[in-house]
Amino acid sequence: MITLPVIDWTIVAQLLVVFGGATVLLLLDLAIPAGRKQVTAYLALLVVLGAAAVGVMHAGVSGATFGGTLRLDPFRTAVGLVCLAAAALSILLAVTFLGRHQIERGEFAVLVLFGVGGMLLLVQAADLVVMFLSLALLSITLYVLAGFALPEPRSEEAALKYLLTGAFATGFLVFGIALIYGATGSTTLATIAAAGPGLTGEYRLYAAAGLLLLVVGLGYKASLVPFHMWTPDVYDGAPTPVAAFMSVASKAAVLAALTHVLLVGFGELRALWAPILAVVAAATLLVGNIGALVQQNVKRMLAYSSIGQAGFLLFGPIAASDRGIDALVFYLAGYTAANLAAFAVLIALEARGETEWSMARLSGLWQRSPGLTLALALALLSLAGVPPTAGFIAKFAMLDAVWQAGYPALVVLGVVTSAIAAAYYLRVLLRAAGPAETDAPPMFGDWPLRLGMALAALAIVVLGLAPGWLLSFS
Amino acid sequence: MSDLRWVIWLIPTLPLLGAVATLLLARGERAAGMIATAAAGLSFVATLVAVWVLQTMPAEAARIESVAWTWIDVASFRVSFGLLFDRLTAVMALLITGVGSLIHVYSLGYMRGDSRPERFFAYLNLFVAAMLLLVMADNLVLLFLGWEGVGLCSFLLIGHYFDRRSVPPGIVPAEAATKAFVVNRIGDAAFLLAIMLIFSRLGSVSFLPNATLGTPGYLERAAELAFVDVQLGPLGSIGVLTAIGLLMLIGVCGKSAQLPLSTWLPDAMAGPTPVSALIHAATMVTAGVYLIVRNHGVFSAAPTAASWVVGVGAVTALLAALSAATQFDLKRVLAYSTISQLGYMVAAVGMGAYAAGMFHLLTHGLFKALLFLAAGALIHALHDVQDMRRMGGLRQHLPFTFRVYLVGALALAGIFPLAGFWSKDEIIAHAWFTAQNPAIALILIASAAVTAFYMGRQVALIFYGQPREAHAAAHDPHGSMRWPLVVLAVGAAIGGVLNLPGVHWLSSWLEPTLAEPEAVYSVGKAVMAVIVTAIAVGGGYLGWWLYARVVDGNIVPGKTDPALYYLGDIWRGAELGWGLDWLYDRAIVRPYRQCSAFLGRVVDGEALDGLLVGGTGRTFVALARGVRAVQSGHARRGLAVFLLGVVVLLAALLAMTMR
Repeated sequence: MITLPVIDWTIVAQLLVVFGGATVLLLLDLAIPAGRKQVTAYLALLVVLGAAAVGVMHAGVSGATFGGTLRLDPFRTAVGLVCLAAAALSILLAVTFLGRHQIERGEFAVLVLFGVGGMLLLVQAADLVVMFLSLALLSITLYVLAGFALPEPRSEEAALKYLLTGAFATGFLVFGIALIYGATGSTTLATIAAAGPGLTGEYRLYAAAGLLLLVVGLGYKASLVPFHMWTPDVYDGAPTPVAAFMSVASKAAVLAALTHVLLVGFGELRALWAPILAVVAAATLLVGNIGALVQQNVKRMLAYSSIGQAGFLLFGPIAASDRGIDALVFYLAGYTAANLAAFAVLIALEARGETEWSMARLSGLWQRSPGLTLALALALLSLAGVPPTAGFIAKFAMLDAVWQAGYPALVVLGVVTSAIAAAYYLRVLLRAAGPAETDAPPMFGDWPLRLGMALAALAIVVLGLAPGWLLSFS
Repeated sequence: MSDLRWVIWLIPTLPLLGAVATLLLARGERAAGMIATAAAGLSFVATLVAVWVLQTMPAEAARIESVAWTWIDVASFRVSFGLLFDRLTAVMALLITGVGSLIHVYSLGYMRGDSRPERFFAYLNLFVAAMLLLVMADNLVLLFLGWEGVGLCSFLLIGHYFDRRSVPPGIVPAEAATKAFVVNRIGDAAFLLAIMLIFSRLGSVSFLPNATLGTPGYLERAAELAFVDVQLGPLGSIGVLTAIGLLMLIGVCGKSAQLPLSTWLPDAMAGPTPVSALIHAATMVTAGVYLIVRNHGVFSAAPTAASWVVGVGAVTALLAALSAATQFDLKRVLAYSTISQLGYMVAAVGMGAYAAGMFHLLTHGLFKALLFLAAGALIHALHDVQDMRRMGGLRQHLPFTFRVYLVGALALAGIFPLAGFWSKDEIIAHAWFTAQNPAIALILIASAAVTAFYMGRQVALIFYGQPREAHAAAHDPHGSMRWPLVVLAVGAAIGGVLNLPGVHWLSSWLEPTLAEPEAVYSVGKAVMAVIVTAIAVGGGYLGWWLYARVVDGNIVPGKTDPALYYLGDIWRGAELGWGLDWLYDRAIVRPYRQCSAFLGRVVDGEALDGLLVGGTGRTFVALARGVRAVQSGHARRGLAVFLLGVVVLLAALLAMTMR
């Protein structure tokens, strides 16, 4: 007689909404005629909003189900909401973009749903196998999405590079899980943590090596250096709304999973992983921000910038404190809003057949569209960490957390690289405020795009002016 | 009549609103002039009402205090935004709004055809508001706000013709404005230090105990500190009150153009003539005198500081008078004369002759405003000629201007029975009899002689002798430029009644505020007055005779004064303002500019900007090229870096666990 495990449905409610919605939508899409695929997108938006509503309803819930492999707690809920917000905004930004570029297919919205479902699963996972599964799910959808501009060769190239790197990294991930299982006899984080103090000799080394490989397998997704090489090429080649989506949502989910693995599963080994991660964070900050300096292609610049931001995000797990976790959530929210706002401006200026996203196309933007320039300015200033935007508070909270954790060198490096970052962000704004250089590219200002951009910009300002409701400085 | 106390808030608010309304609403010269003049006039009416309210109060408690809100509240540093209207303030406010209104009216005619009338009238109103705030503030910090406000307005109005490269006699308005501002800033810095010292040692910046805030008044506490010292480290020590008094004196030297900070006032004549009359003669420059009178408790307890005040005042009175005697520019004579007369006031209040100082402040406000406005009428009539060498014999052409100018000149020269006679004589008498300081008295008498001389000289140069240039079209002012002159001429003539010996209305009016013993009038003082008047008449006649009769024919535009022959280098030194400008230029301005040029070009340009900033930028751009070079775009390169990274990290881990 097999006893079925008791399932706590509140914990999986969000997942059910997303995956159920995605499946139903996949079927419904068959009935929606080509040319009306915007309907699919709006339906997907409804699904995302529904999942978000469920998440808000369960905001205070903590618990585990499915034998402790899935968990929900306020941190997971918060990161999940960031992912859902990113998905919702990305759909808004993409709705008309796809039609404009004649790649309006129903699968887009469904893929985004499956992707965000994978992210939610990754965030909620408390077991390495579930993590692997969810990472595979979100990766595969993102590979397809990166190549969504088929038959555009750049888009296909991006998808292929992403796939190759992903496959390569997944190997490390699986090997890491195997080593950990071998050392501890479990794949559930809680059990691994319990086994931690008893590990000695080579078992300790196996566990540590497994953890390192696990960090590699997750970290490449967050563009940590030296596993970042795919980032500029993929962001550049992928359709812009897809680049926007993957630059924020998958990062959030992966950072949450990394945090769980490191702090819940391997808190015991902190003395080993913390210095290594600190070095990785430092390298990520330096390579990302320095690499962005000479980019003339705005999408590549944003790709390098997102590498640099990942370095900052890593401060959260390194700090290994409530302060660090709070700062991580806030940073993810602020970064999501700012990066999506920046990409929204690019989307508003991108006509079909554009290949190189040259910075010159932004010159003179202020004279043509003060509104777009304002959104761009807010986004870039927030990314640079200038008050009164969300980015300033986020960076401040992160620096505070690592300072408290005893990493003054990381604080100095964070400040120095932020100064370097200001150089390339402000250069773009300078272009936008200056005279026009090339023939004015067309502008697109349909309402979903404007709504998405306005919401993102609003979030930047609100988080910057009133951070108190998401972050407490105590 | 306590229900009318609120009227004191109208006094500074009306001109402030006038300034705002002029800037925002007025379009065109007429509207601007009307709004501003109405605001100044209404403020005068409000002052009259306030004085009447004050009059109905018992003499011992004759003051209106009103706190609007707590301006600053940091620990024990509490500052109110409150006004104090006592009898001293009343005198100042009457002068400011009264003469101010007249000058506003005069400006209606004088500024006709100006390219920026809205700006001019708005600033003029703003000045009146700031000056009223200065004299009505109930604490030093608020007073300082007014003090800086009038400085700002002075800067703005001196630079009214900022687009002109040069105005007679060869001053660049923008530079003159900057000079006035910077020189004043030196005084302001010292004044700020004085305020800080007062707060730190006396625990309050309020003049009187403030019931609303619960702060004590520092004036009544001052005497307690008479023998307390501040330590200056290796420099020894100095009495607290002496330090406060000396720092305040530096502030006074800036604002009231006393030596050695007097150099800005002659150049301030680059502003429009009504500005010279209002700000640089009648009101703003007297702020320093008001400050000393307001702080008489401090100065009477600090004899060392007070004697410095007397010394500075007396020396300034004489040296500036000598300078005035050598100028050819119409307004520059009056500017040096103003410095000299301010010297009289400063010397007077330094000796403790507060009522006499205030008396002279009032009469000077009347006759110097008259002289400046009359000079403005002349400049108008002669189409911007200010060089007295190009005038002469104008009394037939401009009989009205001649007469009012003569009244002003006689009053300034201290000729009986005009206003200047009474006030100046009182100061000299105080120096000789009450303060018993014959040296100061003799300096002041000598200055009086020189004053009479330069006014005689000026009247002779302008109105007597041969017409050195034809001014056929010259005509007397009329309309709005005429009757303010009449009013002021009457004031300059009979202003002495304010404080006639034996009647002394002003002294008894100020007595409750200043607690100064009443002046005693003796036969000695009467004899003294006769002697001083005789000297003044002699000096005046000498000046007139010399320039109207003797050297009349030798005066040529562009040439030096023929009288230079008699005095040589002394004359030359006086003409240049005793070389202070030259000294400051060599000792401060040029070294400062060279230092800035060095810092700007070498330190900032080469080292900071070039090496540090530019070098950092170049370094990181080079690094960025390196990053880009690694990023070839080939998938195999990316995976190789990936693998290398994994190997390095694993090696690091191994090294750490092995340890």
